[in-house]
Amino acid sequence: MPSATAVSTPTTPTDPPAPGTPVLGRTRRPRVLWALSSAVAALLALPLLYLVAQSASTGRAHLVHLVFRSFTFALVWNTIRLSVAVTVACAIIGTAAAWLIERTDLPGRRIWAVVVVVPLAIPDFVVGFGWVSVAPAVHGFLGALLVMSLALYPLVYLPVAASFRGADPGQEEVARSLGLGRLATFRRVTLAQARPALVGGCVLVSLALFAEYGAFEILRYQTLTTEIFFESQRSYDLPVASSLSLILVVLSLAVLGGDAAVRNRGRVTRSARATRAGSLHRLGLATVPASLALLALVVLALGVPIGVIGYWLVEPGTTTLPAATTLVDAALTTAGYAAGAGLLATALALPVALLAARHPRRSTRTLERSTFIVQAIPGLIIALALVYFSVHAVRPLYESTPLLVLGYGILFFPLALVAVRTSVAQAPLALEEVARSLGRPPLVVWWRVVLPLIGPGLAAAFSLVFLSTVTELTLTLVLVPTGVQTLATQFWAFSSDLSYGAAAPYAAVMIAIAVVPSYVLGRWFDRLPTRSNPTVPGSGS
Amino acid sequence: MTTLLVSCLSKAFGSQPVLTGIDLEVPEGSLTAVLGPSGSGKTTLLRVVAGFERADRGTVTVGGTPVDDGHRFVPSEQRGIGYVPQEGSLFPHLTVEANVAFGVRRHPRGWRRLTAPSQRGPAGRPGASVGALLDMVGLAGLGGRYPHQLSGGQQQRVALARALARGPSLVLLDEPFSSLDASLRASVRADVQGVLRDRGTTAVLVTHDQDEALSIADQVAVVRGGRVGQCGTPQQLYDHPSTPELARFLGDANLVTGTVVGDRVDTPFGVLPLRAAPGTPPPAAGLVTALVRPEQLRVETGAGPGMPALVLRREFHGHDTLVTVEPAVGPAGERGNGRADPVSIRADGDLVLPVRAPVRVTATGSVLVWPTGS
Repeated sequence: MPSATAVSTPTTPTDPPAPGTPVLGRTRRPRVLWALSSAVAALLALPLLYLVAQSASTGRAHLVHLVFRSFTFALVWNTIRLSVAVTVACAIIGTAAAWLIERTDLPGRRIWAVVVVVPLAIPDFVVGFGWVSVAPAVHGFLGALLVMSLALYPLVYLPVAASFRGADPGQEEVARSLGLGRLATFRRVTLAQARPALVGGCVLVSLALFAEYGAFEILRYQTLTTEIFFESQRSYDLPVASSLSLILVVLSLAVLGGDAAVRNRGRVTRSARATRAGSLHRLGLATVPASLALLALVVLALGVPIGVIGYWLVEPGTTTLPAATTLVDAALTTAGYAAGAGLLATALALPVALLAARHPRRSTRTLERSTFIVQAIPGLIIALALVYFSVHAVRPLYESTPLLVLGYGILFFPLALVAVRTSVAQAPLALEEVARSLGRPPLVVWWRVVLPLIGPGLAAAFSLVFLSTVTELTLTLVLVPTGVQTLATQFWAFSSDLSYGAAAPYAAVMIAIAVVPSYVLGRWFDRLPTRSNPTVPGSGS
Repeated sequence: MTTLLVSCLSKAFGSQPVLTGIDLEVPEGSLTAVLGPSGSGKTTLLRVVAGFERADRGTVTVGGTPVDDGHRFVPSEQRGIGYVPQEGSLFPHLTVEANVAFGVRRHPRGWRRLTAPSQRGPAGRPGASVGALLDMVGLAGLGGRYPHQLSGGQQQRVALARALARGPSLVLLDEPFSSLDASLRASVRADVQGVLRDRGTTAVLVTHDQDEALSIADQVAVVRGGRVGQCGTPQQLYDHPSTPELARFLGDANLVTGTVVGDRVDTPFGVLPLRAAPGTPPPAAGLVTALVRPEQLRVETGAGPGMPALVLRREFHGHDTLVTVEPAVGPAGERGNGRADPVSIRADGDLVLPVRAPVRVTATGSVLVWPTGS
């Protein structure tokens, strides 16, 4: 029972406001939301603006020269071939794992479902570090393929598993009754149902690969991003950096645009929400190899990095344990930045989500979608853009904490938006209307109805951004104020010096901070569909 | 005394007019059904009365006070109107008790005591305690549950209790039974009607179900194309629909062409006494459209008077049987005026007739007529 609130003012219908009192109808709110959302969209457009400004200052001839060098081609080829190979590998691993765990009678499915997702909480550069220190032969293209596939397959697993869970089992049954065999049914029905999720996951994998810096640096594999980092942070050749950034962003945007095109073409319709679980496929003799395969996946993706960190932590000869104070300092600094980033990203997402969910029109949808473009901008480029604008326009912000938090806020805005959007849908306008008709003024309604309903989603957005920030490296390396250390930068500094023993504690703390919230989040997202009031506001005649 | 008065109400969404001059008068203590097909604007009417939308033109007066007349707009929280939405829209994060108590200001000693004599609802009526309200809607003992632990019918009852908790002068119900399955609908509907009547609460119910409107309302307003087509008691509407179209909308109707002879009309089923449609003088002579309800007709076999016909199909409903026949054509069937629309007859439940069986259809009672072309 919520505590007593004596906020409402006693008014009766025989006591209407005097004529001439300005009436605030519902038309007023969108105006405020519009202003806020547009400001957010403008903020998110800064990185693109930076690219345009940089390219313009480089000059067209010089830019063309830089873009069409054989060196650039080599980098583009490196980036594309790796991203294609890793995406395919992730699609296969993720879909197979999802099918085994969601659609078969594999023993221990609920435990597997938790364990196979955990690699998502381990930063890619830590996975790379684990593999390199265990097997120095892991490097170059094949090394990068191995490490990135193991680090990124959960991005495919999660949406595909969710789609298997929610798929209408009737469709498979109908296919079987129409004479399709098991394999044909899987290919033509099961996979077709999961296709949007699979494509969405693959897009996330590609974008993550385009943006990755740390793991490739460790694995000595050169991509556009590692080269942009080198040019901008080490040799300070900004024209080269910006020409490569342009190519990188064009590649990312192409992937994002291709995703949208594919999605609109092959929309999977279904008549009704699945109300019952489909019958599980019996694995029979295949149970053993299937379990072994999952076990191998978990050992490679989770066991190796965790084992290596553990090894360096307990190995007395090699460990030069850092002073506990630096570790605690770095952890507190990281947590502070992450909290700021979580608050900022959630705050940025709220008006956009409210506008799009509450006032669904073409214009609001376009605005919402435009903010998702930020997904395609690698963190490194967001960082470079913020450096550029702070140096040129707001000098005091340069190398300051607010600028770093702003960078996180922009980078993780899409994460926050997805979570906030889901929760805003939990509080349909109809509930607010009922609350108003029960005599509660708008502010009280917000406090007692809207906030309790969207609160969990806001918390989820915050935690999602929080844990992503804890493990963020690239943008942090560029924007972190001089003399300040976070867990990621400390780990990076030590592992770059090959002081693995000194680096390991930072990785351990990072993972500890990141794993717990991701488990909580997973539980929260799992509970989401158990809602009772899917009200459509303002429907009917 | 009129509780709700709506006059000349118009509302458009963008360039799409939804209400085009609605007039509605709801007497105190009555249950008025606003009946219309989907898209007729009935939900919009309800939302304007509740204060969720603003009228473009016209006035809404509740209990003698204008709440929306173009100058002033009383926000919905100050109107004191109860509202029961289509899906119940219970607050999912609150228990049943907290849902019901949501609109009631707390008594210092807790909300269970909100029935203290000093605590009066906005309409001056005493609000009932949450327990009493739940008892009244038949959910005593379920106050601690959450909405998702209730069935659809139970949710709907809680929504009603919540709307009544403040003792509103007027309760609006937006198709409250449409999300319930048929077996549940009748019982919930009867309970809701009982509760509203016991408390003497004025209610406006929006529905597209004519059976529902005719069976529980004291007054029915038929909305078509954004305005009120006809308003009256269910009996008036059923017996004297103002147009043939409304006749068909309100219950099963056979519309046949007849010829007026004096105060009688010659129909395919025989010569019957006539009644004039409201607002039109009884036609002295000429062709008319006549309304013959299925229960006025009888199916007979063998030789005799009446319209010869062939049985098309038979729907068994237990208590009765709806027989559809096709007027026979040819030498015997030329009595009518060339209209060969199928005719529905409500017959006894045990009537057994094979399809294509030849029958005669006879009629009793008087028929309502409109001049042809109206």
